[in-house]
Amino acid sequence: MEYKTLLFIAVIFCYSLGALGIVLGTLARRPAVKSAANLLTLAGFALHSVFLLKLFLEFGPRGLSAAYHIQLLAWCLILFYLAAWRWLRYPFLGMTAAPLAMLLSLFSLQLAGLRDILPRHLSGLFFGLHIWSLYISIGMLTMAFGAGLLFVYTESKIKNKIPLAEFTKDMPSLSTYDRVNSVAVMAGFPFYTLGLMSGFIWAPMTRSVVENPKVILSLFIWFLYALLFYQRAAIGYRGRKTAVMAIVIFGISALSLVFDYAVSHHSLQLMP
Amino acid sequence: MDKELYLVGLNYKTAPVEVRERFALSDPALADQTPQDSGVLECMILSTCNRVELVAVGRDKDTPQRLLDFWAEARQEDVSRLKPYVYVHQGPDAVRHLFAVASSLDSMVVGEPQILGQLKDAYRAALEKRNAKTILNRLLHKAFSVAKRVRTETAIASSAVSISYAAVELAKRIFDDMRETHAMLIGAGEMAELAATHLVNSGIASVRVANRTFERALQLAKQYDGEAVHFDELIPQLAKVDIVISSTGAHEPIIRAKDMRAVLRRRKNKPMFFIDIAVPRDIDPDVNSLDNIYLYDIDDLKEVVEENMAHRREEASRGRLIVEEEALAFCTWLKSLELQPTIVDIVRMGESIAKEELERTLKRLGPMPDESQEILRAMLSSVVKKLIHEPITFLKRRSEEDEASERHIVLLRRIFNLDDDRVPDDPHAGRRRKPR
Repeated sequence: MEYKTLLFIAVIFCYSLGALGIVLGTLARRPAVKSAANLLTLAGFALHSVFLLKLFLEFGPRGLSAAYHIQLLAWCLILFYLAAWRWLRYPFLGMTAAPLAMLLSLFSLQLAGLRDILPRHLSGLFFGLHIWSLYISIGMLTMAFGAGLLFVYTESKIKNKIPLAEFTKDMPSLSTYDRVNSVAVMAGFPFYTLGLMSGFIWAPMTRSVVENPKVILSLFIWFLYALLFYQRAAIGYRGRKTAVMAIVIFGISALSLVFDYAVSHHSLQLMP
Repeated sequence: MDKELYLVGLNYKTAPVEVRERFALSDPALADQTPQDSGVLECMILSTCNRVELVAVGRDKDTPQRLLDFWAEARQEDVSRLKPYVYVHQGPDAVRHLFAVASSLDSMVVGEPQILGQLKDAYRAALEKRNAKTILNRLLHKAFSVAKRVRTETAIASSAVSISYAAVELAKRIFDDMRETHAMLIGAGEMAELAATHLVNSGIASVRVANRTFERALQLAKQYDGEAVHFDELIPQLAKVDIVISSTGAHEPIIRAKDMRAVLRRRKNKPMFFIDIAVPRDIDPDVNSLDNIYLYDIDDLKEVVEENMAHRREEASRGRLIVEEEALAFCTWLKSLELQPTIVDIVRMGESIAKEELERTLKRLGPMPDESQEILRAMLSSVVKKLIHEPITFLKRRSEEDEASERHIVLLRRIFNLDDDRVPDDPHAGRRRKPR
């Protein structure tokens, strides 16, 4: 078996066990399980970094597959989670980031072999702006989604006077979830805008995409994102409404991502 | 049987409060009078408002009676008036009971933390009076570690079981940093004041007090190092606070949903937590339907407390399993204590024989270098150790496995003749068949 395959299997193994451990450790209130799962995720992240770097050096920015892009997104999610865990002391984001990274890594297996060939003169800018700004914004959106999901769950219990599950005793308060949601939305929206704009500028140069449903969907997501950003920044909305909206935007973005790689212009199927 | 552990006592389950008062042993002077000279080797007295217990190590089965006599005498009462309310535990049952008490599994409010402190005080008093020795020392240290294990491995003490504390716990689920939250106390009342005290203890930034009588507001504000607010300023002031505890005697709600919409706008939708302890309620229940406002009335809080109590009871059954496991381990150690004199005697006997034989051999061998003598001594010591190893291991194993360790001790003492019994010339003469 090729060493790259072994490396990728090790990444999937670490992410899967890590995600399972983080979720079970949190629900069962087992700090030792959570710590072990975090270490596994960290190990998976390190191996993943090596794997992605190796592929990048091998194929260069123009020759990377669709699977590579999906894996890069999974890597970004774990990076955001580890950063939030290490510097902000918000380990709860692992509840969503780790399983999503695992799912994305598994999803990338479905796309193996599809290669997205970019024109040489655009590849640097494309990678530097479009991909990275979108991935940062999706990473932020995942944080907002995780915090939003936990906010909605905890808030509905408190509001309706339903006893809280045991595992929530180790989890942060509603205000913390709301603050994470707010920071993630405020920081993520500018990146999403940048990513989308760079895509609109360069995409017509490479292929005809204006009438593509993916573009309409992206614009719709941007509109919702902008609305949420405005509500947070200007009106001072907070709490349940903003949490629900972050969940909805993330849900549509996730669908858009699947759609994107299944039928849209990021897939090789439409490539000449 | 050489030493046995006993526990005699009464508690809130077996005795009403009048009896508990009458037989309380909380006077520190009583520790001096523990029945040390009458076969009670070690003794500790635990006396709280819910229980009085004497834990003792005694030589014989009269120990519980001795303890009861001492107890009744100390309270200048007749022992017959005490007996109907008392329980007596011996050996493993006593260990199990004490561990359960230390872990707060036997408390009126399961999981309450005070009992452990009271037990530590009782142990300290026994130590000071030199009433706690080998067995009680080990028993109490073990009881403290069992209590810690039960608290960490179960959720026995994780949820609030008083209304005021439950309110504070809920506030902590809403606000991330209590040091940045501001509270307002509207009206007065024992429970509301208690909740405010809990909030202050949890470190909130400030307390405002609103009361129809401004002087009373000033008085309460002083108590919490806070600020008094005129009652007609109540609604505008709400925009400045995050937690509101209300307990007035008003017959109509004093805070309505329409008032709160404007307050929320001014607060930029920052969350608010209302605790309505008044009956009739001070706060319109519709307030809870507004986003970012959480309203709990007295019934809601009672429900939270009842659920928490039920949860603690569930956790207590897990705690009892830990107690059972630890009590078993302690009793094994206790049993091994019975073996100690026999083991010491066997080792001494072996060493004594080795010493005698070595001296005799050295005399016969004549002058010998020190190094050679040392080698001989080491060899003999090794032979003795190997010879006695198996009988000692057998004794320890039997002691752990069954209840008949005493029989095996006697047997081993007779085999090695550790008690220097004189053996008749023909010990089996009586058993031998007579010739026809």
